[in-house]
Amino acid sequence: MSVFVIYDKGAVNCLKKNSCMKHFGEDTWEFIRDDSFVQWVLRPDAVNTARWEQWMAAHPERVADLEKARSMVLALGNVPQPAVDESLLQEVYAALDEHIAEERPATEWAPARIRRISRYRWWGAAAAVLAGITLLSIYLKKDNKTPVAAKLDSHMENEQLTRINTTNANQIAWLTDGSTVVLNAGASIRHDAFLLQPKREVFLKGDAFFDIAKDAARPFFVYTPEVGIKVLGTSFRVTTENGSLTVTVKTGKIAVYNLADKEQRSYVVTPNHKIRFNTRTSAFVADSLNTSDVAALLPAVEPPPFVFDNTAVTDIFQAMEAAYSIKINASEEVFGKCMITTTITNESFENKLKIICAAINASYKISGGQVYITGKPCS
Amino acid sequence: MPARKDVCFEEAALWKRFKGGDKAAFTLIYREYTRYLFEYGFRFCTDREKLKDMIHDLFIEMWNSRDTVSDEVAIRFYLCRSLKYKLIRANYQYRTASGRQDKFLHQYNQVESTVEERIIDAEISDSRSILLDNAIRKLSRRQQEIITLRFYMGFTNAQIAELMHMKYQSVSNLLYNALGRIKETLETTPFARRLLETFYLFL
Repeated sequence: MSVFVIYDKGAVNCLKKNSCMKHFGEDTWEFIRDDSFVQWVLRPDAVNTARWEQWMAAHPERVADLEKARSMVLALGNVPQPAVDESLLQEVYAALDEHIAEERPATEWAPARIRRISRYRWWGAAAAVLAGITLLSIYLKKDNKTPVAAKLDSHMENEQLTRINTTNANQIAWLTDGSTVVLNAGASIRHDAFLLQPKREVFLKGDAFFDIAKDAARPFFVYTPEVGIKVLGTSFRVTTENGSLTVTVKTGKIAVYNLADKEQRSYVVTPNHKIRFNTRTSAFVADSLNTSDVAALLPAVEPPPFVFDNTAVTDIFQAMEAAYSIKINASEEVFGKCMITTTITNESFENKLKIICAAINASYKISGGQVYITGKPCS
Repeated sequence: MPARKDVCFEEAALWKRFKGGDKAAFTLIYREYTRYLFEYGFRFCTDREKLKDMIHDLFIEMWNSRDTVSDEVAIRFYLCRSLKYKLIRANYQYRTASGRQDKFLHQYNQVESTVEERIIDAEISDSRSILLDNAIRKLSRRQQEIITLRFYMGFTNAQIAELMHMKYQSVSNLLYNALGRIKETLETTPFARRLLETFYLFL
C-alpha cells in the first residue's frame, strides 16, 4: 500500500490502527490525507501536474481511486463559505490604500485616480500605485523610444515557435521563463512559445549563447541534432565547427549526452571548461579553456534592459513581441494613450504582462500561442 | 496551448517584493487575501466591525514589520494564523465564555442562511453542493472548521494542526471522522443516494 512516491510520510498511518476504518473508504482516504495531492487538486501548476501524471502512469490501477478522491476534494472545496459583504472588503481596502498612500510624498500621489480605480478588481489598487509612480514622468513629456528590439524571423507551427536570426549580427531571443538566448547569424531555435511543460526544451541549430533562468523544478534542455544538454540555471555557449560541436560553460553546471546513446550517459561540464563532441566518431572530449575561448565567452551581446520612460504601452507590447516572438494583440485605438514608466527587465514574460496590465487596469489572456489584452482606454 | 489559470503573482516572488517594501506587492496581497480572512474570522467573531478592525490592524502590522518577518511564507496560512492569534487575544474563541458562544451560534446561523439564500438564488444551482453543505452543517464546529481549512483554504495537515491547536495525528482523525459523518448523512438521504450513485462520491 505504501506506493505513494510523493507521500506524506510524517503522518502516522491511520489504516494500520484499523480502529478508524469503519466508515470511510481507505482507497480515497489515502489520497485525501496527502498534502501534496490536495495541493495539486486545488492549485494545479505545471510542476505538481507533471508529478501526479507521472504517478498515475506508474500506478494505473489506482487511477480510478485517485479520480474519485479528486472529485471529493473539489466538491468539498466548492461548498459555499459565509458570505462576505463587498462593502466590508471595500472599507478595508480603502483604509489600507489610504494608510500606504500617506507614507508617500504628497507630490507623487494622485488620490483622485485611486478612488476611481479601486472600485474594480482586487488589483485595481496595484494599478493605482503603479499609476502613481508613473504620473510624475507623464508631466515631463519625454519623447519615447523602445530600447528593446530584436530582429528575428519567427513563425508558429504545431504550437512550436521557431525563431531564426537572418541578420548578420547576433540577436537576442527572450524566453518567457526569463532566460535569454543570443543567436549567432543564421542560428535558430524552436520551442514551446510559453515553455509551460515540466521540462523547458529548446531545439537549437547553429551557434548560440544561453543564459538560463534558474528553476530547479523545471530543468532546461537544449537539443542539437546529435547532443542533448541538460541545464539547471547557468550560461554557456554552443558552437559547431568542422563536424564537431563544442559546449563552453561560463557559469553553473551542465550535463551533455549523445542523443543516440541508448543509456544516455552524460558528461558534466563545469565553469571555464568545454566539451567537444565529434559527430563522426560520436566521442566526447573534455578540455580546459584557452584564452581565446575565454574571450569568446565574454562579449555575448548584453541584453538591453526593459526600461520604459513614459512610453505608450502599445510600444512596450511591440518591444515584447520582438523580444519574445510572441504576438500581443492590443488595440492601438484603446491603449494608444496609455503611457507608463516602468523597469521590468528581470521579470518573466507573464509578470511583465501582469505589471503592465495592472498599471493600465487591463487584463490579459493567453490563447493559441498569442496574448490578448482587454481593457478600457486611458484618459 | 493550454490556457493556464491566472492565479495571482507567484507567491514567493510576491512575498519577496513585499519584504523589499514594494507597495504594489503589499496592495496585491491585501486585495487578494482580505476575503479569506473574513471568511475565516466569521467562524470565531461575528462582530463585523471588530473583525474589520482586527484585519485592518493585522495588515498594517504586517507592513510595518516587513523587515523582520520570515523570508519564506505561505501567505494565506500566515495571515490566518495571525488573525487567529488576534482573535484569541481579543477573547473571541468559540470554546470560551458560554454567552459569547450562544451569540456566535445564533449569528453564525444567520450567516449561513445568507449562504442558503445565495444557493437558492441559483448562483450555485448544483444540488450536489447543497447536499454536501447540509451534511457539513450537521458536523461539530471543529469538524466543520477542518473541512474548510483542508479543502477550501487548502492548508496542509501541519498547518491545520497549528491553527486548531491540536496534535498532528489528531488532525487526521478529526478529518477522517468528519468525512465519515458526511458520508453517513448523505447515505441516509434517498435523493442523495441517487446522486451519490451518479457521482460516485464518498463510496
